[in-house]
Amino acid sequence: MRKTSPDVLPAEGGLGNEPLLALEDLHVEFGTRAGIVRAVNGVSYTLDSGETLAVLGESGSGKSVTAQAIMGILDMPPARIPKGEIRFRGTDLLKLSEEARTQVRGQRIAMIFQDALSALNPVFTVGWQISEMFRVHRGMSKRDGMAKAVELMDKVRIPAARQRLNDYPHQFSGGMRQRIMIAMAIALDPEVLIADEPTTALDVTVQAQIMELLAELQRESNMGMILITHDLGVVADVADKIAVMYGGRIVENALVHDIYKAPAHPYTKGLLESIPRVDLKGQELYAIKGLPPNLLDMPPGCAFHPRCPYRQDNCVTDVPPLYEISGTRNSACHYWREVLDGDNR
Amino acid sequence: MGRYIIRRLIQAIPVLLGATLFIFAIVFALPGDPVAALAGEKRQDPAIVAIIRDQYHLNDPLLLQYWHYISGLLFEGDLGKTFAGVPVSQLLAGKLQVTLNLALVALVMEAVIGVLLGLWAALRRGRATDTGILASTLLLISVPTLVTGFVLQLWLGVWLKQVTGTEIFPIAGATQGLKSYLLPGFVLAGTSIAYLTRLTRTSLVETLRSDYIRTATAKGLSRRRVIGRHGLRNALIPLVTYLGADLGALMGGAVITETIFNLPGIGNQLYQGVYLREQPIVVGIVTILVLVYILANLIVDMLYAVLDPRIRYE
Amino acid sequence: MSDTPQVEPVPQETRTLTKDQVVATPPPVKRPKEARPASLWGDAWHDLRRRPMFIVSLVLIAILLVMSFWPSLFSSIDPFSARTCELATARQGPSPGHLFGRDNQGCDVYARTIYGARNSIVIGVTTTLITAIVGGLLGLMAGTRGGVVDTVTSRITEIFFAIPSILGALLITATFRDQDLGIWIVVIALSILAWPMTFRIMRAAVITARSQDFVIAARALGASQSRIMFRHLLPNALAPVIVIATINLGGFIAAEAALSFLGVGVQSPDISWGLMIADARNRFLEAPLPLVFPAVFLSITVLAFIMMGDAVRDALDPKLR
Repeated sequence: MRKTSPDVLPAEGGLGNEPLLALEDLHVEFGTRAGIVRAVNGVSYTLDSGETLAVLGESGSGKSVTAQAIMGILDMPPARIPKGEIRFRGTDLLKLSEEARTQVRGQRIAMIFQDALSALNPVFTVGWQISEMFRVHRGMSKRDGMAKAVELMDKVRIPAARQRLNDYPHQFSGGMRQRIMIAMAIALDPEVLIADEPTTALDVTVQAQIMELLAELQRESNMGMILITHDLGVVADVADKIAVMYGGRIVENALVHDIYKAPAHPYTKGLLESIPRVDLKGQELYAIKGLPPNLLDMPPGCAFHPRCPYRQDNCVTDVPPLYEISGTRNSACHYWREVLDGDNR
Repeated sequence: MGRYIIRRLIQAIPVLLGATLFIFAIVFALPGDPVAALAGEKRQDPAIVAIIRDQYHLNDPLLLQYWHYISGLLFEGDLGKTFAGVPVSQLLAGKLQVTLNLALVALVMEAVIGVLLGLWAALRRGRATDTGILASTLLLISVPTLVTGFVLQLWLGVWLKQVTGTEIFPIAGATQGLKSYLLPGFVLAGTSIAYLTRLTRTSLVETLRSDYIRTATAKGLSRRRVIGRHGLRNALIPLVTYLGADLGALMGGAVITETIFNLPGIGNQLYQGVYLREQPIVVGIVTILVLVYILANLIVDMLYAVLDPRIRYE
Repeated sequence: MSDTPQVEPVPQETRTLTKDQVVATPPPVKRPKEARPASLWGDAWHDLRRRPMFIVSLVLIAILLVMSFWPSLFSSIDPFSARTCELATARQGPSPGHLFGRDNQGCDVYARTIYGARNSIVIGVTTTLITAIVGGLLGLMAGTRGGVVDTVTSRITEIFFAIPSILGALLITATFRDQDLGIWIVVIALSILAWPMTFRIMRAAVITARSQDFVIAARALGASQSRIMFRHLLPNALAPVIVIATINLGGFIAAEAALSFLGVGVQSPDISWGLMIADARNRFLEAPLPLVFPAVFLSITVLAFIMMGDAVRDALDPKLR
C-alpha cells in the first residue's frame, strides 16, 4: 500500500475548478499463481456533480475493478495499484490513510452492487442494515436510525415500508432488494454514487423502474453517478457520457448522443450493432467475433485487433493512443476516421 | 417455530427406538448368564434364579424384552433396576453428573480456545501465525487422547506439583470441584479444539469472501465492525451446529479420559457394567447418551433457526 | 463479481466443429507457458508432489508398512518368544541392546513397539477398506436411486450416529469376546459403527454430481441406471470419499489403541500399542518409558495418515487455499 501523506479530507465544496472525481492513468493488477493479471491499464476519466457517466464493457474489461479501486474495496493483496491517481475533489484518495478512506466510503462515495441478494447480509433485517449507516456514521440512536430507514425506504418507493422494516433480505423480491441497496447507498447523501450493473440480475420491466429511480434520485440530489454496465440499451436514457472499456483500457469516450449517432471505435460499433432492434426484425443479429482477451496473455498492439474488421498491419504491433477527435471525444483506434465515416466491413 | 420443533421431535423417535434396539440386541447377546454372574461363586437356589429370571423377563424373546424396557422408559420414564434391585436411574444420577461436568468443561474449553485460535488464524491467513496454528491443530488431532492424557498427567499434574509444591491440576478423582475437571476436560476436548479451530478458520475465511462483506466495507464501516459484526455473526452458524453435536460425542468419548483420571463417571460405569453383564446398566447408559445426542441436536436446530433467519421462515 | 480477471486460459472458441477440423487446425490461442495436466486427479497429483507434508507422510507410511510386514528387519529380538523376557529386569532403563528399556514383565520395549505396528496397520487398513466399500456402495445407491431406498438407509445411518462410537465398539467387542475372533473383532466393531460416515459423504457427493448437466444429459440419452452410477456418478464423487478414508484410517488406529487400552481390543499375547500403554500405566509415574515409546509410535502413525489425508484434501479441493 501507498504511504500516507497529510490526511486532509477533500473539502465539501471542492477546490476551484477541480472535477468532482478524476481518474488519472489508473493501473490495477492482480498477482495470481499463473502470473500478473493487468486488469486496468491506464484508465482516465472525469465526473462532475449531477453528471452520469456510463462505463461500458464486457466482463473482464476492467470496469468493475476500476469502480472497486475508487471505493477502495479491492483486496490488496492480491490486487495492487502500481500507478495512477484517483482525485476526489482534488484529493488523491490513493494517498489517504485507511482511516481517512473509511470516512469517504459510504458517506461521500457510495456503491450499489449487482446482486442485491448476496450483497445484503442475510442475517440482519433490512431496517437494521439501512439504519446502521446512521448509527455508525451519525451516532444516532437505534430508534432514530430506524425512523430514518423508513424515510429512505419510502423514498425508494418500497410499499408499506414501516411494516417491512423488520423483514430479512430473502423475504423481498429482486427489485425490492435492489431498492433497499439503493436506500442504503444514498442514506448519507453521497456526492458520488457508483452503480455496478444495478439491473443485470433483474427482470426487464423491473430494470426500467430501477433505472428511472436512480435517475430521479440523482436529479434531486445532484450527485455524480457512475453507471457500470455491459448493456448499451440501459444507458441511452440515463447517461450524459460514455466510456467504453476493452481489455483494461478505455477505447472510446464520448457524449452519449455522439456515440449513438456514429461510433468512433470498431468495438463500440460492434456493441451498438448487436443490440436487437425492432426495425431490423427478421435480420440476423450481429455478434462481435471471437472472445474477450486473456488478461494473462494480452495480444500485442491493439488488444482488439484479433476481433477487429478494420485491422491493418500496424494494429498488431502499435498500441493505439487515445486519439482526440473533439474536445469531448476520444478513440483508441488508428483508423477511427474510417469507423466514424461508417465504412462498413 | 413450534411446528418446526415438533417435526424435529417426531423425526427423533425412530432414532431413539433404533439405537436402543440395537444396543438391546447386542447386550442380549452378551455371553454368559447375568444372574449366575450376580451370584458369583455361591451356588444359587434354582427356584430363586427362576424368579429373578422371570422378574427381569429374561426368558422372553428379544423383542418382547425390548418392549418391556422401552414402554417402561417412554411411558413411565423408568430405566429399570439392576439385578441387585437398585433403580438404574438412582445408580447413574451421580455418575451422570460427573460425566456431564467433564463434557461441559471440555465443551467450554473447546468453544473458547477453538473459536479464538480459528479467528486468529483466519485473520492472519497465509502468514506464519496461521501456519503455526494449523500445524498445532494437526498435532492435536493426531495425538490420541490416550497419549495426551498420560503426558499431561505427568507434566501438568505430577511434574508441576513437584516444581511448584502445590497441586494446581489434580490428576485423579472428582473431589476438588471444578479444579479436578480442568486437566481431564482439556484432554477430552483436545481433538475437538483442533477441529473447531479449523472449522472457525474455514468458516470465517469463506464468510469474509462474501458479497455482503464487500457491501459492509463499502458502507464505510471499520474493519473491526465488518469482521466482528457482519462476518462473525454469519461465520458462527456452522460452529454452533458443530458444538451442539459435539456434546454427545464428548460424553460418549469420556470413557478413556475417565479411566485415565479415575473419574467416577458413566463411561467407567458402562465399562464395569459390560464386565458384570449388568444389562440394565449398560442399556440405561447408552439410552441416556442417545437421549443427550438427540436433545443436543434439537437445541442446535433451534439455535440454527434463531441464528439464520432464512431457515426460520421456510 | 462479474469482473474478476480471468486467470484460467480462455477456452477456444466453441463452435460446432467436425472431428477432422479439430484435428487439422492447431489451437489459435496460446496457452500459458506452464501447461498443467487437465484432469482433477492429474492436477491433484501434480500438486501433491510439491507438498512437503505429503512427502513426509508418504515416507512415514512406507516405513510403517515395511515395519509391519518385516518387523525382524528392525529388531533382532523376537518379543513372542518367552525367553526374551526376564522378570528380574522389569522396568530397567535403556541399555545397549535394549534401547527403550524393559517393561513390567521385563520384556524389551523396543522389540514390542516394532512388532506392535502390524496390528495397528492391519486393523486400520482393513477397517478403512470395509467402511469405504460398504458405506461407499450404499451411499452411491442411496444417492442415485433416491426415494424409499434413500430414506430408509439414511434413517438407519442416523441411528448409528446417535450411538457414541467408542462405547458402541466396547459393547460389540465385549459381546463377541468369547468367539475367538482375535484382532478381527476390533475390525468388525469399528466397521459397524463407522460405515455411516462414508455413506453420508458419498451420498452427498453423488447427489451433487447427479444434478450436473453431463449426468442429466447421459440420462436423457438413455444410459442405464448402473452405467450412470458407475461411469458418471462414482468417478465424480470419489474424491471426498478418498479424503475421508485417509483421515479415518488414522482415527481407526487411535480407536484400536483405545479399545485395546480398555481391555476389549487386541488381547495378549498379541501385541498392540494400546495394550502396551495399558500394561505400563500402573507403574507409569515411576517408569514412564514403557508407556512413552508405544505412545510416540502411535501418535506418529496417526499423524502420518491424518497428514496424508489433509494433503490429499487440499490437493483435491483447492477452494480453501
